[in-house]
Amino acid sequence: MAVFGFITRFAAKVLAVDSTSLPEQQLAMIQDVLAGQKARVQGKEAKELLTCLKRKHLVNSITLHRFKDGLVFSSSGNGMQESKRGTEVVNFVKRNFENTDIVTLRTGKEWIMLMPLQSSFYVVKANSTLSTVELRALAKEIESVFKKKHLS
Amino acid sequence: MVLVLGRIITVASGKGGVGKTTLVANLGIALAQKNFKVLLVDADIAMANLSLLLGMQASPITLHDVLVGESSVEDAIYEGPAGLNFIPSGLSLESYRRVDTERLESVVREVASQYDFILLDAPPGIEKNVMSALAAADEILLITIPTSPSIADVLKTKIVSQRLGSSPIGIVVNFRMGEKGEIKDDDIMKMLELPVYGNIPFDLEVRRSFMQQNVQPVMVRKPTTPAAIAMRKIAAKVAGIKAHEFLAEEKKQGFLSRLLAMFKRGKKKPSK
Repeated sequence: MAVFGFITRFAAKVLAVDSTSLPEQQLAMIQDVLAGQKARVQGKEAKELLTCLKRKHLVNSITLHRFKDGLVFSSSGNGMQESKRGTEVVNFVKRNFENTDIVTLRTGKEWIMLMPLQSSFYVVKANSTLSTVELRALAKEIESVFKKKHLS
Repeated sequence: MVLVLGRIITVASGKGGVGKTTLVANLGIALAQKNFKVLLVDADIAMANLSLLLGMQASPITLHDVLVGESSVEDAIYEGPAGLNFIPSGLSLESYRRVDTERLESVVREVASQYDFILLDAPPGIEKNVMSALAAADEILLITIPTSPSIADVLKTKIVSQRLGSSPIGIVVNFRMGEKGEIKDDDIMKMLELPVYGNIPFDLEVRRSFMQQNVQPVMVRKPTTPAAIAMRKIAAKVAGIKAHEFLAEEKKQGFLSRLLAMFKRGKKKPSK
């Protein structure tokens, strides 16, 4: 048996036999993943936009409070309250720990990230923590989408 | 005064071992040989080995020191093959623990106006350090091997980089062997919705480049080997130059310029 195996391998080597084949099932699986990942940012209303961005960035909710005009946008219903509480928490932490950038809290079921950035305040809820890089990218995209849709 | 920033490109993949570091080193050399001002950054903070591939073992100041805030970025820049500049990452586990990778973007942008191209060698995966390397660049060049697991992983890297606001520009397919089971360029392009920048054939000379007393990238050691030629074509595409122009001039440079480049290796860049 071992001799047969050796001869087969030797013959395949000499004849340069290509025994590989295209993994069709795996390619179909990748196509499925790809189709599910396409979260295009569309919609006219701010809430609708934030809901799209929420899906794209895989977070549970996004709330944005713009201090320049006092407007609050949220993918969930209680944006104003979230923003108010979040600001209070960040102010409390900043009083005790100078140069605080982002405050991350863990509740029973999710993580809450509180981020003041320029003249806005963001409350992002997710099942796992987001790094500063991810939060800033999210904020940048919100700003840019809002600008395009003339919501700024 | 308006500062013109160089193109900041991160070379990334999903899986490890697909040839990111090799591509970064050789792409950088190919561009530098065309007189572009090139800076390579070893953004693989935890498993740095770009310096080993460039044959530069001793680097007293590294990216770790810069990210910790103990050194300026200018002090961590060294001169490498073909006159390119290079920021190595530290090999020490202790300094790795202290590094704040989220500062990478500001560090890179600090010197971006001095170069035509800044190429970052990203770590594999989609963890925090990878995200910092992806977010630090404007453009992402993805690299994969022509098998489904590698393509599935590079797809994730593409999605994450788009989420972080960077633009994937194309894909490089490495280790092409021409077997039936390999996924073809057309399918890769359809799946990733990106152009294929080039195919690098499996070439033993690339592997042998690591197995020398003095390690040298294949672009320096064997510039006419198929993998080196393929990488030069990719460099032409990245730079927006026609491939035949890129290769033709290369032939004129010949042995002497390569010999000179070899002598330049390891020489520290003079302080500014």
